[in-house]
Amino acid sequence: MTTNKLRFAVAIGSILLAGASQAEEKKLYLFNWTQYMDPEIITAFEEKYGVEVVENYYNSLPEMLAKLNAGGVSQYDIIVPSNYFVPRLIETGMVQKIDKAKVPNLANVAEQFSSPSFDPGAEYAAPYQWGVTGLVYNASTFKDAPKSWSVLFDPAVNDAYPFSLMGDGQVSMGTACAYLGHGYDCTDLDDWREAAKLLIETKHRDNFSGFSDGTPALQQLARKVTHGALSYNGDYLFYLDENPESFSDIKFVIPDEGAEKWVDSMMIPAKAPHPELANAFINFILDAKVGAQLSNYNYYASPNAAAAPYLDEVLTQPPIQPSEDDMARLRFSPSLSGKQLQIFQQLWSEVQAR
Amino acid sequence: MKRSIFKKGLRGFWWLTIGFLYLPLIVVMLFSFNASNSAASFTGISLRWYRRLLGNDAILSALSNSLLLAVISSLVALVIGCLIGYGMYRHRHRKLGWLIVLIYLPIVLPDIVFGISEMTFFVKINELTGLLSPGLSTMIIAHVTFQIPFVALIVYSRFVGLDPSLFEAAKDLYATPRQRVQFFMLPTLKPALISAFFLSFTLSLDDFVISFFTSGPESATLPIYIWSAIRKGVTPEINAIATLMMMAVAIAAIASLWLSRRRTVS
Repeated sequence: MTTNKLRFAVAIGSILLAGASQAEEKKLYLFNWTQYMDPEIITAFEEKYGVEVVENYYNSLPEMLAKLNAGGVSQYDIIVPSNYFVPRLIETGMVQKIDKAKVPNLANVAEQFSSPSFDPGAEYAAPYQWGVTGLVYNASTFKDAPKSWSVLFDPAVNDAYPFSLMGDGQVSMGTACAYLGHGYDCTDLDDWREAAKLLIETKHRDNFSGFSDGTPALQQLARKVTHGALSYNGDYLFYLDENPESFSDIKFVIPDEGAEKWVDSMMIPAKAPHPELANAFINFILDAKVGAQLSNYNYYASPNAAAAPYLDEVLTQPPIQPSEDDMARLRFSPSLSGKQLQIFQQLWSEVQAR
Repeated sequence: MKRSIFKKGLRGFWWLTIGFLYLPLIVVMLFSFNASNSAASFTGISLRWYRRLLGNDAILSALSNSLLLAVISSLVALVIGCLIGYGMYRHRHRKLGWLIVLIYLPIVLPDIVFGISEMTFFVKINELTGLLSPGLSTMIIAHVTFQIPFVALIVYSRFVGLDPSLFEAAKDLYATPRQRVQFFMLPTLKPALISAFFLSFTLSLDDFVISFFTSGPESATLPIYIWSAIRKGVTPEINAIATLMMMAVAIAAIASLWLSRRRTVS
């Protein structure tokens, strides 16, 4: 009995100590979206710097934020939030500036991402991947579908087939705004009200199947549970490549009214245990060849201009690299804060409740 | 006549219940042996997903975290819960009903409430002292906390089922307190302790919500890994892990049954 107790004590003690000694070992703690990193890149980084990379994953940004608030801000070295989350992290002091002297490869970043609206001067965020949230639909159901959000919003275009909208409030509201002609990145209160009204009307249509997220939405389309939805270009291509039979009828388009472009960025939490290594990691990912390898693995477009020559051909054409006309109609989701964010959230919960 | 219809109905319900309980599990097990990467069609038997599983460091470390957490937390909960159970029995006449309710509260409390409050608590402690940053240590504390009531309940009900005069008999025979524990209480409690240990073990192994809120970067358990790995759909690899976990829980249940049965027979 006493020896057993001794063993518990030793076991518990060693675990508590392990927590304290963690900081001394050379490790990089990466907190990233699920299935968003090529394992070979991690191996290459580990070999080059003689360190170990510990990966953790999240499925949504609120989930990531919850972990950061629960002590993660001093436990992770790199996080990969989306553009509209970046200002929130900067304003609340959750992240630190990138040490530009240690990240010479920042020069590789394409111009449109080098000083983005959500982080002027790119002080805090280095782009990781970018993509488009577009319209996906079953082309055998909608044979002459217009290149328009009307496939979802107009009962005259689709009066019978089930469809879904996106669970992310900003995307669904922005899309409704775009369809109404106010542009995807509308922030005017009257425009929002009109969009919310449209969403509530749309919700009450018999063939509205519900809100779903980008990746499950694609699976619902493949199983013909729905015939129209919102999803991401990279995930669409991933499934098309992996399961060509089920996805042969599914089309991805960027409607003429405009749509969302997003970029996920690498950031360093304010109290990251290994900021030096984090800067080295960002520099490593922004290398031309590594950047291309990452995109080739993820099926998403690279924000790294120097990576272009090494990209798979499929990544250099639509829907991953949109045509210039489409490109001009893409917008970032507006970064909301303060009173504006409050109003938006009120409207969005109204949409969900009614 | 009526009686036989009733009996048939009951039998039907029995099979229906068994079906709903086990058919989904069988589907998962079957597809873990699927030769192709499809959740819709079964193309042939293969072990490729199990081989891939064994080559995946993240899964193996999640597995070892899960086992370490389950074993350590159940052992600690067993010791503390056993003492509480005995204390509750000893002082059962002293109107301590409210104390017992206090201990049972975590059983009825939703996991999510418990997990979030543990998390907030640990964050505060960590801010003030620098100790207990999220990781295996916080997870062990959280798991022990929710396992204790179960252990205490099992131990308590075992004591209540005993003839109270046995305690006096042991004293009358001049057994020292130590001898009473060693030769009377522990042997009588053994089946209860075994089932309490395995119950705590499976509770810990199954837990997702509480672990999720208290885990750190290096302490992801299998349920946490599975949760974070299913964005692009359930792969046969996940089915293989699920099958292994079912086996682990089944083995624990059978071991517990076997150990306690052997005890009663002898």
